[in-house]
Amino acid sequence: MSLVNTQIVAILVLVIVFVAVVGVPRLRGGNKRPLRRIRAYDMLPAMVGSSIEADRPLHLSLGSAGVGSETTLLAIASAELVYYVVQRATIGDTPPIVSVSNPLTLPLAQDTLRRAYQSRGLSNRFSGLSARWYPSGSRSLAFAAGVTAMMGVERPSGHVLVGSYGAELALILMGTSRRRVPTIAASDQLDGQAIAYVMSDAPLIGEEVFVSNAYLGESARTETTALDLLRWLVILTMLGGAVVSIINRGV
Amino acid sequence: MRIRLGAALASALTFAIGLVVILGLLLPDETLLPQTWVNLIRSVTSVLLQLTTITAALAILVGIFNLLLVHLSRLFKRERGFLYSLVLIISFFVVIITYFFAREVNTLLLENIQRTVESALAGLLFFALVYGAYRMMHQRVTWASVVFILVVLFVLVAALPFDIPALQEIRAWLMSIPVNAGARGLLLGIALATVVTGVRVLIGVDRSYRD
Repeated sequence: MSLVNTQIVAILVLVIVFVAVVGVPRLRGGNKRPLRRIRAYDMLPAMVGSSIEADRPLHLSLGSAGVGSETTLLAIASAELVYYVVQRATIGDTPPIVSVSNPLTLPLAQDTLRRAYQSRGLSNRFSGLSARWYPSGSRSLAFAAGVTAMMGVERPSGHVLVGSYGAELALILMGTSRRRVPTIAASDQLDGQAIAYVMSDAPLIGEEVFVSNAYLGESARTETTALDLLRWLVILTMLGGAVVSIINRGV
Repeated sequence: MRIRLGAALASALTFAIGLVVILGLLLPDETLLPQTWVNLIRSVTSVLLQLTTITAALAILVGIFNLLLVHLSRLFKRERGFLYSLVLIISFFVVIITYFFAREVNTLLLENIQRTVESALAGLLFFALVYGAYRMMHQRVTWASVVFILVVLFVLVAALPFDIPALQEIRAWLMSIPVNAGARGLLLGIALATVVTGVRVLIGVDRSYRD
């Protein structure tokens, strides 16, 4: 019985999200709603500009977010953010570096880079070696060590670390902080998110990684509108549940 | 509106495969559909999921190839830090050779170098976190950062083995109510955004299909 209920709830959620994604943005004014300011997205154009001026690469990382695991959609959303940043950075001489620790995400990172160069008509400047795989051990410390070593060699002018990170993010951010390099960080793991909040210059919190399309792209603000709707639905469901629970106790 | 054939095909393929997998995973045992259809959808889902697992296993080779190419390129071009690349390539081949011809040496290398270095890095994490807290207070003293540091200090002090029940009760309350609520809020936001992204990918409105 409980299994059927779970399945019904899952189908219901999918239908609601489908309606929210497809239907709501088509309503009048759906694409003109103002967006609240997020410091990380405000900082990005300046970071790209200083990378081009300093002729140093910008480092973007997806951490251990991986296609084929439970972080698949986070990897896709992070790759979307990487796309917009790389698209702006293509006019520079030094190509941005994209690092991943999940080998399945490597083709995604390479494809994202390729599409970003292609969108500017600069396909000939794309190199698959700009996407790099740093293997991770059981706790991703090897990945952190690899990225820290890369910082010393390539001297990136800024870091955008959006994906899945645990406590190892502290090691990477200590390196960026000592080099006084601007950093944007976000993680879907709670310990990584806490470290990103404390140690990065501009953290992205929770679902903010998933809305890069609305902040950096030119397309419809589908995600933000659908997310707002879903958020209100969750709030109303929680409040409704609390009210029902109080009433039941009273009876 | 111009529609590219490749983009349309990619969207259609993603939509079809996504729909089949979702149906295969969500269909209950007793449905209105004929049992033959249900079995067919479930077997196709199973094959698709097996394919994913095989692809995941093969992807490690892509990663190794990429790692070697990056470092060989740096070595041959004598770029900055090429000595590190040399060390990496030598280590890579030493590990491969010892794995096949001297397994004991391989285990020894793993236990004495790899694990030791990782343990040292794990030890460094503590200092990195203290440095992070210092940096936070040094750069921007806001009410949020002050509350954050105070709570961290309080939780750490309360975790010490002193028998002060009041401290431990407050710590337990902090961890179970405000910390738990915050964590659930964050995870709920990520979950909602994940579902929205999933549906966008599934119905083919994601921008990556259009390039």
